[in-house]
This record gives sequence, C-alpha cells and structure tokens, in this order.
Amino acid sequence: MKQRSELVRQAGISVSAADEERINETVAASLKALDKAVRGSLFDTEPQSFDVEMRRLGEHRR
Amino acid sequence: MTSVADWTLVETADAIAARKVSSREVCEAVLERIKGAQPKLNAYIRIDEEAARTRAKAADDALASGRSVGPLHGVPLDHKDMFYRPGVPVTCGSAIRRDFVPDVLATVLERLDGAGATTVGALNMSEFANGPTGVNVHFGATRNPWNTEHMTGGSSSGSGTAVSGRLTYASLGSDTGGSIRLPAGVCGIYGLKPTQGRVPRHGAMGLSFSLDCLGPLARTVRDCARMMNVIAGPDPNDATCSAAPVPDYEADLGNGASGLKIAVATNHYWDGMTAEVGDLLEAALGIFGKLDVSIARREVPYHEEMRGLGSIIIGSEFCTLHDEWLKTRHDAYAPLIPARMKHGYAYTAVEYLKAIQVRPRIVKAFVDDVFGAADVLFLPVLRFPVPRIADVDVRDGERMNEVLNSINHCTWPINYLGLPGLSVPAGFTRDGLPVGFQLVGRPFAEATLLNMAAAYERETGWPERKPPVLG
Repeated sequence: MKQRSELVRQAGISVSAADEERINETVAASLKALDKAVRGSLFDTEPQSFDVEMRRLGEHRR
Repeated sequence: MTSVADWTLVETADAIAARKVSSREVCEAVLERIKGAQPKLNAYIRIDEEAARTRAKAADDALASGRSVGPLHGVPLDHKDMFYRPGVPVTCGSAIRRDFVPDVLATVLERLDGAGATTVGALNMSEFANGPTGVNVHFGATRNPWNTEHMTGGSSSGSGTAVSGRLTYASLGSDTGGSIRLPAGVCGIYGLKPTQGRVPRHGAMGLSFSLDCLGPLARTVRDCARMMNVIAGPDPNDATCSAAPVPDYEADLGNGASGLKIAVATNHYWDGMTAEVGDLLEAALGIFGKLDVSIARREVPYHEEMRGLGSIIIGSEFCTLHDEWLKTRHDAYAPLIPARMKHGYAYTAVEYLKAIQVRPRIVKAFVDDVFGAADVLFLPVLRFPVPRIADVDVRDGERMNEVLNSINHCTWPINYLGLPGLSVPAGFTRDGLPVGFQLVGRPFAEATLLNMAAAYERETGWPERKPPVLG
C-alpha cells in the first residue's frame, strides 16, 4: 500500500505521516471492497447504464 | 403565544394565499425569531433583512393585484449556502469561495422562485459539503436547538438547525453520504434524499457528481412533499436528471401504510446499537405494526461494497473538482478536508471506473433481494445519542476517520445505490435529544416513503414538540 500514498505525492499533494497512514488504511479497505464487488468480467457492461437500471427498477414502484 | 414562525410551511403558504396573513407579517416574525436564535444556533452565514422585506412586499403586492400565485407564495425559505443565484455571494461554507459571486441560477432556486418562495438569507454548512458533524472552522459550528452543546450533523447543518429551530419553514440541502438525512435525524425533523437524478443539480455546488443529490429538510411530511412537488423533475440543463414522471407527492399522502412491508436490517446498521436508541427505534416499529405494516427482520447485503466503492468515487471526484485548489490553496481549507479526501489521488483510473461500472449490477442485486419482499427498508440514522460538539470536533487528528465514519455509518452506503432515503423523527432520548430512522425505497419510490412517514406522523405528533432553544 505504501506506493498508494506515493501516488498522492506524485500528484503534487503534500502527505504527512498521519496522512500516509490514513490514505493507506482507506485505500486498502476500498480496494478490498472493489475486489469483492467486481466478480467476473465487466466486458459486457455499457456506458452510463446506472441510469437505465434505475429507471427499470423504478418501474415497479408502488 | 404562538408565532407565525411556528406554523408549518403548508399552513403558512395556505394562509398567505387565503390572505389570512401577509408575507410581510410572516417575514417580520421570522426575522424576529432569527434575531433571538442566531447567537445560540449559528444557523446563518448571511442575513439580508432589507432584501427580505422587499421580497415580502413584492409577494403581497402580487397577491393584491390578483396575479396567480404558486404553492409557496410569499413564504421565506433559506438554504444551505451552495445554491447559485446571479449576483448573490455564495460561500459553499468555505474561505476559498467566501467572495464568490455566481452568474447562473440553480434550477431548484428557479423552481422555488416560480412557486413564489422568498428568502431571508443563506445557511451555514460544512465546508464544501464535506463533513457529517456541522463543525465549520470558517463560520463556526452550528448548534442543535434541542441542546446547543450537541452537534447538528452535517453537511446541511444550517438547514437542520434552522428548520428545527423554526427560523425557516423548509430548506434545501445536499446529500452525498448522508448530508440531508443526518442533520434531519439529529435535529428531529424530516429530510429526503431523493433518488439519484430525481432533482436537478444545475447551479448547485458539486462534491461528487455521481453521488450528489439535492432535497428538502422540513418539519412535517406534508412540507417535504410540497417542496418535492416544486423541485423534482427533468431539467434540460442537467443531463443526469431523470425523465421519469413526477407524481403529486402531496396528494398521495393520505394513502395510508396498511398492507405495506418493512424490512429491518439487522446486520451492519445495527452493529454497536446503544440500548436507548435501539428502544426508540423498536417503539417506532411498534407504531408501524399498529398501522398494519408487516415487519420482517433480515440481513441486508453489500454494505462493505457500498462503503468502499462510495469512498473510491467520492475521493476521486472530490479531488477532480478540487485539484487546482488542493495544490495551490491547500492552507485555505480546514485541515480536515484535504486530510479526509486526498486518498482520492491514490486510485487508478481503472479502479475508479470499475467502481462506477459495477454500480448497476449491485443496485439491481440489492433491489431484487431487499425489495423483492418488502416495500421499504428501515435503517437507523445514528446508532447512539446525538454527540456533543466537543466530542466530534476532531479536526484532522488521530480519531478523524473513526469518529466521522461512525456518524455516517448508516447513511453513507445508500448513496452508492442512488436509492431514495427519508429521515424520520423517532422520538427523544431521556436527555431530550432527537433520534431518527431512515426509510429507504426502490428507485423513484419517494411517494411511498412520504406516504408511510405521513401515516406514522399522524400517530406520533413529533412535529408539534418545540425545541428548548425557543424558550
């Protein structure tokens, strides 16, 4: 994870020791969640399909 | 003696339309209320007394001349200081934009103007809508009308305290991780985060364009519904705004809750629940039971994914919007803001886009699972009594993530799903602090949420209770 706080530095943002710890902790948790969420390929997904899905799901509202 | 300022939004609007009270009388009552409460609550960033009087007179003149009036005619409504109006300074709760004067009109303000609403001033908020406590180092912390030592929640902190403290009749807020539902729940009022795309965002400050939602905070369900009737619907200036038809939310409020089904999330959202808050939430569920609502307790999926992916999206999008200032005006932010958000630079483009691209799959799986057998999901707002400001003013210290994440623990995941969530008062702790719960629904099910809350409200009468700050 250390290289992740390095990415922040490379973007031109100051990173203190406390920042580094927080960044690494937050990024680790987020990437763990991403790994869990993305099962299989995203090859057949479409652009901006969230809005389309919301409309479909909303058609069943009471 | 009851002041006009104690009336609800709908009572006031209807009384003005029926010429039982003038907009000027309403304006004066509100200004007097603000004068007394502002030193205690710090709800306002700016108060424009003379402009408010001018607008109130114009509203009365319009009514006297027989011009047709809208559903909010002559009612002063003040909003989180992040909605743009040409020529009027808007701070976004920040030092960086302290003197910013926009040249566009927010669609939501244009719609409120069209409905006849007036305004008195601009409300305090967390800096750049970032932070769930209501602490703001530039403009001071807002204070809770039920106990001024306690936080209001954020980021629509001024909206929460001003509506609860009866300084304004309803208020617009924004919600990216709980910023409408938290201050509403913490201040004992209603707050609706609509479905992603239900309310246009043109002319409103952005925090995270994939997750930001605008919506009302109000003292009653009917007030919320009237606000939604005015602000919801497609907007040619906002390509992300949904074209889905908008129901008449106010007309639907009498449908009753009988036969509806509530799912109560037993995992994650209930972890670490304190006994006192848990008892009040159970009592609220008991009221729904009496209304012939069936209640099923169950585990709810994806909370870890929703929090983590939401974090990737908010971090990346915040750093995109703030990139120039984070590099050139870093010290003009409260230290908490960059400390909390700079992780957004640490994700790759592929990781960010994966978090976006997998979103429809997760929302479909969540909705099919949870709403296949229920109309509404019941969640807490907070799992503990409203904390003291001193205990949550963590700045960028060691406890920052722990404290802030504990406050938005129950609200944050819902933004990733884009679902509507309504914060509803559940009563008060022994110390007199409000407790709230969330009703979360299918996409575009705002009418169901409001209707259920209206049935519940008729049984509780919480909006009648006056906060101690009013004396």
